[in-house]
Parts: sequence; structure tokens; C-alpha cells
Amino acid sequence: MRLRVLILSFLAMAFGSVAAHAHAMLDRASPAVGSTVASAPREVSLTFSQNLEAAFSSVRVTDANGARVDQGKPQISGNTMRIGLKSLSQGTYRVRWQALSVDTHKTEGSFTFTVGGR
Amino acid sequence: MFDVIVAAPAFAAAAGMLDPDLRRWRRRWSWLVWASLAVAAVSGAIWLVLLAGDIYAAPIAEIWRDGGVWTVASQTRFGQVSLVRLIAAALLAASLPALNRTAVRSPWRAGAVVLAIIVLIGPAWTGHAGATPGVAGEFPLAADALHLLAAGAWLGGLAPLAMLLAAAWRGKEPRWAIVTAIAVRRFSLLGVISVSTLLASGIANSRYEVGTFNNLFATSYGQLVLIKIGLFAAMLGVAAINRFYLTPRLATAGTVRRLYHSSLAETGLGFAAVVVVGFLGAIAPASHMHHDAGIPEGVAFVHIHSNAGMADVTIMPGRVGTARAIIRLWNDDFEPLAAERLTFTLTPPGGQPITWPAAQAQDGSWQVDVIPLSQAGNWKAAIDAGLDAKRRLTLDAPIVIEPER
Repeated sequence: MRLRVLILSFLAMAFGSVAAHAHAMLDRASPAVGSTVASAPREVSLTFSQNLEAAFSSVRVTDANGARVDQGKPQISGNTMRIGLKSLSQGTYRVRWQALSVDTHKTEGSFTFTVGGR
Repeated sequence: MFDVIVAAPAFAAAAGMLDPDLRRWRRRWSWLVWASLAVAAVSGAIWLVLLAGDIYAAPIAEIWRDGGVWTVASQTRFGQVSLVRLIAAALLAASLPALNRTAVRSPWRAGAVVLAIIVLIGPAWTGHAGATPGVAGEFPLAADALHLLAAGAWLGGLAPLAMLLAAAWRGKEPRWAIVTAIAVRRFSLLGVISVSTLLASGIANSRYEVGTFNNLFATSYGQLVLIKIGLFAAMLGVAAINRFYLTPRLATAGTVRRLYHSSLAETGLGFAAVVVVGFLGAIAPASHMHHDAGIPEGVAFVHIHSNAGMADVTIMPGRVGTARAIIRLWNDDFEPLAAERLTFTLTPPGGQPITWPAAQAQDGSWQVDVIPLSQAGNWKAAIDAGLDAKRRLTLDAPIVIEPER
């Protein structure tokens, strides 16, 4: 009988399993997803639906040839991620991001924006 | 575990004169607390290691060797909260023998209360509410923390209460009657406070995580929440019998035994509810799925989301062979998004991308009828949609193709 009480009482183990999981989705971006901007932006700024883990979130920006055009380290605070850009000429650029939300889920995605021209 | 703070002082106060029976009960109960804390610590550590494996997407042994586990422990909120809880649990376990000898109202007991609260409510900060930015996350975070605290106070107190009742039922000493009466009365007060808190915070959390009433029935997350509500209702039923029928009859012969059995039943139901919570934690909350209807079996599906628009890509069948793709575009408010043209690109793992023009069907969706899927694995699906003369929407995301059946 005493053993039964003990077995039933391993309740405490359960107190570790409560995290409800959702993912950090890209909420908005500057330059906007798929947009054409008249002048070259100095940075790309991404805002997510969840707070990010800075050590495990990253962003890269590449030109049409796949060459990196971002510079410096991404600055991540709360649910935003920013990265500086080299001076961009006209053309289409791809932003690739990876995010780990504070509730420990990974997401990734990419989009393009275009500088100048039409 | 939480009983350190509420039930134990009550029992001690009631006893006043320490008889050997009580001391034996206290020893057993200490073992229970140690065992619970050990399970919590070990499972927490295992979880942290598994999470590191998931984050680095590499074998555990390799991550362990390269110090990746420590990076995750020290640099993520989950890791930091885990470490704090681990330390609090260790301190609590170490202080238990001394704690049992201190006076009922000593500051050491207050310290133990704080440690127990840290162990209990820590997970709230690593959950969905804890990850939600700004003020929007603060109310659900508080609700999460209160929910954990109340669940811990109630469920954590049940087991020691059952042990005390078992001891009382077997003990011949007449003073046990006094101890039982006071303990049961105090526990039922704790129960009422916990149940009210659980109910209020549970309703708040459901609104936040489940979203609409319909989601309760239409999503597996909602259905699990319903199961949990059912278990909670059953626990309330048992608790009501304990409080309103058995407690007033404590003096009657046989009541302590019946109270013991129904406390055990309540503990079992509570355990089941907590197991359901484990499953809930492993799936996405209903409010974060955009579809009420489930995705059919055997289909590869990905939802791609950006602020300019969203796309649902369905490849069926989602396995090696010839398949068909259906793409639906939505705006941010989840209304159909019109496009003038759309091309669909798939890239096999390690291979070259292949692009098809999609044709628009009568229901507004875009379709590619014949897609050869050459291999299983993690493919990349990409969409390039011309919304009008100026605006384009390009999105991509990984999509998993299963092996041939």
C-alpha cells in the first residue's frame, strides 16, 4: 500500500512538461517582403511573432549571384533582428533567416526585395 | 513537494507533541520529496540535452563533446531557467533534513517555500506565453505561473495527505484524530484556493492558446484540453465528496480509510491530467494553426508566412512518385490573395531546382498537375507570384517528401 502511494506520488516529474510550443514567424520586415525600394537600404530589420534566442538566430542577405552583402553581426533583441548592409546597387536581394524562439522552436525562411528600377 | 510549505506546518502545528508515528510519517514523506525532486532534476537535464540535439541538429554525443549542451544551457532562456530550477531543487533537497527539525514559523521554512515556488513556476518563462513579445505576453505568463503554482499546491499536497491519512487509519493513538481533523481542514482550504486559481488561469490560458470555441472540438490541441477539463471535473467531484461528505463525518468509524482511498483516486486523476499536459506541450496550440480542418493523410503540406502574404502548399501524395501540387495564397488577414501568375519551384535534397508554371483553378487555387518526385527527404518548395504589374510575392520553405510505399 505504501508503495502504491509512492508510485502515484511521482507527480513532481510532471512539473517539467508545460511548455506550449509555437513558432517564431516573420511578422514584418524592412524592406518589406517582395517589395521594391527606390533607394538602397542601410540595414534589414525583421520582426517576429515571438521573442528570439540571440545565440541561435541569424540572418544572411545575398545578391543575385549568391554573394553576401550583409556586414557586421546581426543585432537581436526581443523579437527583432537587424543586420547592416553593404552599399547595394540595383538588383534583387534575398534575405534568409533562421530563428530559435524563446520557447525553443526553430523556424527558417527567406524572401526577396528589389532595389531601384522597375 | 510543495507540501513543504503548506501542509507540513499544518500537520506539525496540529501535532504539537511529536509522537513516534508522526516522526515516521515525516521520514517517509521526506523520501517522497527527494524522489520527486530527483525525477524532476533528471528529467529536466535529459530534456535540456535533447533540446541541444534538436537545436544543433547533430548527434548528442558530438554536441556533448563540443560543449554545445553548455552553450544551450547558458545562452538560452530555457537553459538558464533549467539551471536555476536545478539549483533550487538541489538546495531544497539538501535542506530537507534540517528543515524538518526547525520550528514551524522559522524563516528557513519561508526560504524553502521560495525554492519550491521557483521549481514549480520556472517553466512558465520557457513556454509560449513567455516567448510572446511585450505586454501581450505578460498576462498569459502570469496566468501560466499561477496555474503551475496552484496545480503544484493541490496535486503536490494530495500524496502526503494520503500518506498521513494512511498513518492515521492504522495508528491506534487517539491523538491522530486531532491531527487528521486539522490537516484535512487546512488542506481543504488550500484545495479551494488552488481550484479557484486553476479554474481562472485555466480559462484565461485556453482563451489564449485555443482561440475560438470551435477549435476546442476541431483541433487535436483543443480535444486534449477537453480531456484535461474532464479529468479536472472528475477530480473536483472526488474533492467535493471528500470535503462535503467525508470531512464532516471524520469522527465516524471507517471515514479516515475512505478519505484515504478517495485521496488516492484524486491523486491518480491528477496524474492523468498532468500526463495530458505533457502531450499538450508537444503540439502547437490551436490558436496558432490556421486551419480548422485537418490535413489529409499522406499529403505533404507547408504553410509559408510573411507580412506580404501567406501560402499553403499541398503536395499529394507527399511521397516519391508522381504528385500534384496545390498552392493557395492568402493575405495577412487570411483572405484569398489574387495573383496574375504563379510559378512553383521544387528543389530536391542536394539537387537542382525545377520550376513549373501553375494554372489557376476555378476555386482560385493554383495547381501544377504532374510533378515527378525523385527522392525522399527534405525538399525546398518556393513560390514566385506576380500579384500585379509591380508587386511580387516570393516565399520558400522546406517540405518533407516521404519514401515510396
